[in-house]
Amino acid sequence: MKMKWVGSRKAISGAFGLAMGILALIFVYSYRSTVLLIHAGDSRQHSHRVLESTQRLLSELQDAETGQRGYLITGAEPYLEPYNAAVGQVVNTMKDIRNLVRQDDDQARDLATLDSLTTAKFAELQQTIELRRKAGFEAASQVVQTSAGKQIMDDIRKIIGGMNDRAEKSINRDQQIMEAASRRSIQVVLLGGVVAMALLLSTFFLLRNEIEVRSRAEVKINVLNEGLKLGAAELEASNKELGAFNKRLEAEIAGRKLAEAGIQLLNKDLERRTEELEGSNKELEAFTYSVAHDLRAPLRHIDGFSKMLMEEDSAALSDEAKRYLNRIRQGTSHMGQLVDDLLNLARLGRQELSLQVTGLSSLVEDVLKDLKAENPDREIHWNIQPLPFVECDPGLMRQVFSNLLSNALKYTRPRKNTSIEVSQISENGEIIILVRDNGVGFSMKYADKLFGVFQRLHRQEDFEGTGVGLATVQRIVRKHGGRVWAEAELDKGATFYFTLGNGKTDSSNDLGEIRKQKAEGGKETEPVSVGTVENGQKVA
Amino acid sequence: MSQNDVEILLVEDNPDDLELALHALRREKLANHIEVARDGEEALDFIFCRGKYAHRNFSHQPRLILLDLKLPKVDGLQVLREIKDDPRTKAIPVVILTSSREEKDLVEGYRLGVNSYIQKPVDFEQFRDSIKTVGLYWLVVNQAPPEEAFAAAPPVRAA
Repeated sequence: MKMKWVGSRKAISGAFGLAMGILALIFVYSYRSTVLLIHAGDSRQHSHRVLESTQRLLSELQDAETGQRGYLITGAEPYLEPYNAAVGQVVNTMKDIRNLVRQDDDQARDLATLDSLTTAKFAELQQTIELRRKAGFEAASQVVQTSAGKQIMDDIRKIIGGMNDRAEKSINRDQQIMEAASRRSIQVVLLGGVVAMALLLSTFFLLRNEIEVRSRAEVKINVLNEGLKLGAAELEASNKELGAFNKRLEAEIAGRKLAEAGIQLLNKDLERRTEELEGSNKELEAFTYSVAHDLRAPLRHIDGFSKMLMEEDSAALSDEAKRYLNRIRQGTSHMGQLVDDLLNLARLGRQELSLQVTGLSSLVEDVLKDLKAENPDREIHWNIQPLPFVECDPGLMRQVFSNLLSNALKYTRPRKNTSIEVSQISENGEIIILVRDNGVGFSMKYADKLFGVFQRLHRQEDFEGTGVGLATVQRIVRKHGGRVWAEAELDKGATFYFTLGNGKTDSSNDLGEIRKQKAEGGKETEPVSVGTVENGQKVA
Repeated sequence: MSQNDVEILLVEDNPDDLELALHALRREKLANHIEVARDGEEALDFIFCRGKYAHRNFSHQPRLILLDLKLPKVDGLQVLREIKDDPRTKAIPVVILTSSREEKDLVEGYRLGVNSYIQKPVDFEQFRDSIKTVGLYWLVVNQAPPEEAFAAAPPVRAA
């Protein structure tokens, strides 16, 4: 509130201080005036006493004169009583006056003169009295008539007059002083009183404003307090709610803890099963290892000794015998191939995809190089279209192309003009790769057998093969989250299609997981081509 | 090297494999003296002149060791390790000849410092060709390590 001057502490202190100061000043001034007044009063009184004394002296002298005159006239002693009394009185009066004027040099000087005059007067009076007593009236009256005594009396009166004047002047002065002092005193008191009152009033107003402001503030505070009380009440209500909520939370936490415990149990179970699985996997690996090593060895022996037999005893052997031995060797070769293919297929199941962005065209070129080298005599019309770059395992995809293309080559052998096509089409936003040949094809009746392990749709003597190639292709493609299928017509040719998931992931395969892991921190490396080719079939 | 020096040490436990290998080696006439060890222990005894080979001259080492992996007593990789760990024998060319093409065998073999790794093909003719190639390469084409390559003795002895 800026409209009224509010009494700040400083202002109030100042005002009071000022008031105090003024009062002090008034007090001091009054005191001094009063002292002055008193002094002046005393002085006046003093002067009055002087006047009085001198008057008394005069009167006493006059009494003395009267007595003297009476005696002079009558010669009767009783008339000397005033004179006798006056003698003593004058002494006292002189003493008084002397005391009174002691400090006034002028008065003292006059007094000294008065004293001697007085003494002279009494001497004169005594003289005349003595003269009357002794000489009688005539003698005395002559002395009186000289007016010596009168002269002295006049001098005395003059002196006394002077002293009186001085005393009266003093009285006047004192009077003036007193009046002045009183007047000023009153003025000061009035003024001071007015000022003090003014200050007090203003202080009063300041304080009052202050009090008003404060009471208003108090009112506000009360309002706020009321508000606070309400707020507190609300808080309490909220707290109660919170309490209830907490209880619910606790219940939920307990529930969750139970769930957690349940999950942990499940996890333990999972761990156990994972361990079991890992155990199984290790067993499988050991099994595979054994198979690789142990199955091949006898095959090698059979083949070796058969060959040695054929070479070293060829003279002793009949043609039939040689033919049988060849069949034996073929058998072992075939079995060797089976073993390798099976091993490969089994390994695929365990293998983790190592994904890289790969140019499928370069894979195809690679495979073609090998196939062309193995089949130098064949005239093939290759129709290889550009293929996309996809995220896949290059080694495995190479196997896919190798298997599909060698199949294509194999089943087009009877044709004079072989044409094999590799291209891509798009359907429903999916990219589909296809390998098409104009070979002997197959009947769609047996299409579902196509990808089965060891399933063949042709006779071994017509077309060699282990029946594992397409199963391998299917497994690899499925691992990538894709699918493979075929369309064919007997004697017209066959087309094999496959997709690679194209980002769509299937929770039941590895690719989704791997893609996720890759997204979290993958690195790009050069696609590596691995593998050798044996007997036109892919051996990893 | 004298005529009696062993040119090839063939370490093979399987009798059939052994016969086939010897046949192939002899057919190509690559070596005059082929020593055979039937298990890992025998192989090491031979190389380090121990046991029944204590009489052997240590400094006359074979020019090529053909090493099978699955061997009784001491297996092929252990034999390889001991040969390649010892500076006196480290330089001897060792070629693993095995039916296994298991990744882990390849890895371990090369990590131990094998000079070459051949997988025995099932087809006998191919096997013969491999043996011929290997023998020809290591015994004829390749420069044998000189004596000093086998020198590095324990630090106590002055080189």
